[in-house]
Amino acid sequence: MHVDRRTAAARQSASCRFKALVDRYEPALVSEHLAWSTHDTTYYNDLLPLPYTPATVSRVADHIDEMQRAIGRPILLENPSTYVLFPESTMSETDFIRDLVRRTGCGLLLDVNNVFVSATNHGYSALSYLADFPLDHVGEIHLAGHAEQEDDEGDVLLIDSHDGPVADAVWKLFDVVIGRCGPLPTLIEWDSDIPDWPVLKAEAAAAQAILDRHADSDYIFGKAHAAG
Amino acid sequence: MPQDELQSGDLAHRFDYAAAFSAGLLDPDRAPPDAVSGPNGKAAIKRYAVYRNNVTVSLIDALAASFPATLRITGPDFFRAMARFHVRETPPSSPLLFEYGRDFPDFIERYEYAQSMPWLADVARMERAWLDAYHAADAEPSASGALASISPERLADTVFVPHPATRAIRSRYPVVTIFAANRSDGPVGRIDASGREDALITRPGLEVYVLHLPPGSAVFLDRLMAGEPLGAAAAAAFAGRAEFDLSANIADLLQAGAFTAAHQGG
Repeated sequence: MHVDRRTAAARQSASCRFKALVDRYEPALVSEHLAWSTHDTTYYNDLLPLPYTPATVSRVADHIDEMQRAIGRPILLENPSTYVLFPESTMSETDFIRDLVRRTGCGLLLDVNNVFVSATNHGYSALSYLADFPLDHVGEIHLAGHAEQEDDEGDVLLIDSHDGPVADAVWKLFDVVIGRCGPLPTLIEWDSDIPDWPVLKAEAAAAQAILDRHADSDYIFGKAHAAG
Repeated sequence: MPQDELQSGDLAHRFDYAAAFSAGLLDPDRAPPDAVSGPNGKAAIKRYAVYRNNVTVSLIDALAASFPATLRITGPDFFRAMARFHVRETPPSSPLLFEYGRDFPDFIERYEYAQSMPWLADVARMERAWLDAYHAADAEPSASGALASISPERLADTVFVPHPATRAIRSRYPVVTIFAANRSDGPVGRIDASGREDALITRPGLEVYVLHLPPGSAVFLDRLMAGEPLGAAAAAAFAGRAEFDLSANIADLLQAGAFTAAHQGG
């Protein structure tokens, strides 16, 4: 995680293990979430949110630099699903992410479901988020299903649950993104309440149909970025 | 970022959000942090509860995945309630979740509602040892041929190098029988809970191997794993049990792949 309160020694050892993993499997893309999971000595096993300020942007940039140096290649940073805001934030999430790209040279993993979940939870438009997002740095897309709960006021609170089909609204946003970026490596995350194979296969086919539809269109950003 | 920077007042203050945010994640009686809200100042009680729930449920799930026989014996409701207490008392300190649960067997041993199942903690110890063997480094076990190069008069001085996956379990209960019955999918018949059982757990190849040890063998194995020479380990085993069969035990342990090498000590 990029905002990591472990000791420098613990992070160093994690960096070495991570480098060994990357060296062994040589993955086409390496990504990590904009989130934190460890504080002091406790590992919380969840993607926890952070305020967006000049101080936190420096800290996250340092950690991305550290990771990229360790593995000798750029990573893709993934936008989070969040359920709370920090009143102390002075930057928008898209400005925060753009700043990280500029400082570290990392690419981006755009989780379209996370965009929709966070936009719904915090009352902004997913389309304007995408309009502000540095799409020309996106090297991979994630899609997923979400669950519906209620917040304290009885308004809809969406949970990034990975336990159901991709929502219609998320398919539409994916279509918009691919229309602008051209086809990008796309992963559907369905890792809880996993359905029968034909259901999963149909979900992948639906994504492929959108990618195919935009395969030859005149998109704004080139395929060169897809390689990260 | 170096650790000493974290302690300097200015930086520590700038990153107070993590301390404030994490304080209540495993403490349901604590109010959500003041540092978070919903949009336009909306309340964040249910919003913060999403993180609380994610953390607690995912860690209970991690224990359930590591201790499947314990889960099968207690049933999911009992297991999850027990695991919830443990998660809140002893959350993981490593992001490598296969390392989590090392303190769980001791917790089970003193868990009020598990006192009627005094063998349950040892079943959990078997499962923890199984997982350690599963994730231990690969190594080529030494076959019985390893002893061939050692001259008979030096045999008592021989020291064995344990395989990285090798673990010994000793129990006052028939833990190997209970473990084996509840790690399979088949029906579990009535098991007589009297009688002690010991086990060797190791992984000579890709599969974890569990060997039910004959009486006296666990003492012998413990001593060898501690680096004692063969003569001293055998003496300890004979002292505990006069009918201890030394050559059969050596053969069984070597064949199971408990060691990677044998060499002359002293």
